[in-house]
Amino acid sequence: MTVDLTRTSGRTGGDPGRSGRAGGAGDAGKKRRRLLGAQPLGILFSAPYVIFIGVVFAYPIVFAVWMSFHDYFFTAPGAQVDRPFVGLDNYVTALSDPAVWRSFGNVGIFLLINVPLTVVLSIVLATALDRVVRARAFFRVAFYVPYVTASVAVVAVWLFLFSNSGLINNALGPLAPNPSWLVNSALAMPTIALFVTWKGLGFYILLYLAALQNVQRELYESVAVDGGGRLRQFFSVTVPGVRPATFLVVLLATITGANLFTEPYLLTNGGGPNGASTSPVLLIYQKGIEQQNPDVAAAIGVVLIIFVLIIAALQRRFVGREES
Amino acid sequence: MKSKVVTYGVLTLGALAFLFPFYYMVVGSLQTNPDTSIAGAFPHPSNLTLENYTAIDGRINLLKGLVNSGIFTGGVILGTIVFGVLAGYALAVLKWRGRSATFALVLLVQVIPFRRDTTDLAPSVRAERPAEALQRQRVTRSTTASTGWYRRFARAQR
Repeated sequence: MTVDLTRTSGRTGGDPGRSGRAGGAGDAGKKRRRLLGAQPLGILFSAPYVIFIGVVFAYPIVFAVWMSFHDYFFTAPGAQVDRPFVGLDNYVTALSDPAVWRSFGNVGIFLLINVPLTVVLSIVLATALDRVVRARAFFRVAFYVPYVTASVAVVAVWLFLFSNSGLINNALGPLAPNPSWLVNSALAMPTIALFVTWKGLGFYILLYLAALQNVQRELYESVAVDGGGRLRQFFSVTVPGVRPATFLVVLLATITGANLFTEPYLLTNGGGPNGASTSPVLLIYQKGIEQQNPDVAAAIGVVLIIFVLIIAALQRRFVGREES
Repeated sequence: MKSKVVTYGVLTLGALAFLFPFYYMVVGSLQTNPDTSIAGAFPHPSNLTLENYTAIDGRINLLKGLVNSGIFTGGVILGTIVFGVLAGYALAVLKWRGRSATFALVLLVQVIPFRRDTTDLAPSVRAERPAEALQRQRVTRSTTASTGWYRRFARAQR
């Protein structure tokens, strides 16, 4: 690629404004430059990515929206059937189902626990991690290991730990909740939120560590000069200093949290007990694939995307306001 | 000095909470009989065995699972490098029409929520449904190492 580029610029010679091949063509070259830009090679280079995104990302989203407005069902491959336009029928079906509302409520509980916990823990741990010199690599790896391990692989240990006769309940003794954590309708979602926080924290710590490098060291000194201790430094310098990172962490945690699927699927066997830990995406899977109602499932998906975008816009307004 | 102790204390506590499940996984894998009491977290010589490891291949098709994981990983790496290097270079260095639009697209893909985890779970998701024996047969061909053992585990738990 480097070779290709030097050749292009070499041909252009002393006139950097002209695109390579059209060097002597005059008017035709100018026209093409206006149409394709100075280096049309860029279009060629980015074409694979754009086409790939179009196939795996844009097409499914457009198709899902289309599906949600039609009476869609699975057929044998190649079968020609009528799929009439039904307007908002699928949305009415989806939104009049109490299970759908419940799943949105569940994910709301999840976010209320997961997002604040993630922000607080990762900012505290990242600040501590930023200060230490000894065993730094060990601590970094320790926090990062759960993030790089597949959920499927660590979920089994958590099932063991939180099961009825598991280690946690044994340690708690008479304080152990009854029914146990993951089969308790009030505790299933918080336990899942705890697991997801534990698993994703390493990534957010990394984001904060990067942001901490941008906080000016002099600010800490000036707080110290004014007689402020470590706590004062943390709240007056660190927290405001990493505000852009906080916005990013809140946003990413919300987006990944709203798309919760793997954890309830594995930890509570698909949204148990009695739907207390069903997430919208899990419901989409159950309704769309298992119960063969792809049109209703697509409607739930569209509603979910709209919800997430609204929450993201609100967060941008309230958490990200100072930087923008 | 005091603040240093606090810092290391916080970090050690955090690291313990993060590494304990992995430690417990290793200890559990070496036990002859599963011991869920508190004492079970500390290995007892009479309850230790390597048998579980020798039994892996009999329970799941380990080689096939690892090969599938390898194929999957290779595909992801290849796709990332081919699409990423080309588009990244074009976006960062070259000037062409549609550059800013493509960059906006890159950001949009990050912002719009879509599942990444489900793809690595997809084989086990389908395999979890016992009613479809035929489909399961098809699925075993696409079982990765981690989903394979989870299916075993989940079935044993029921």
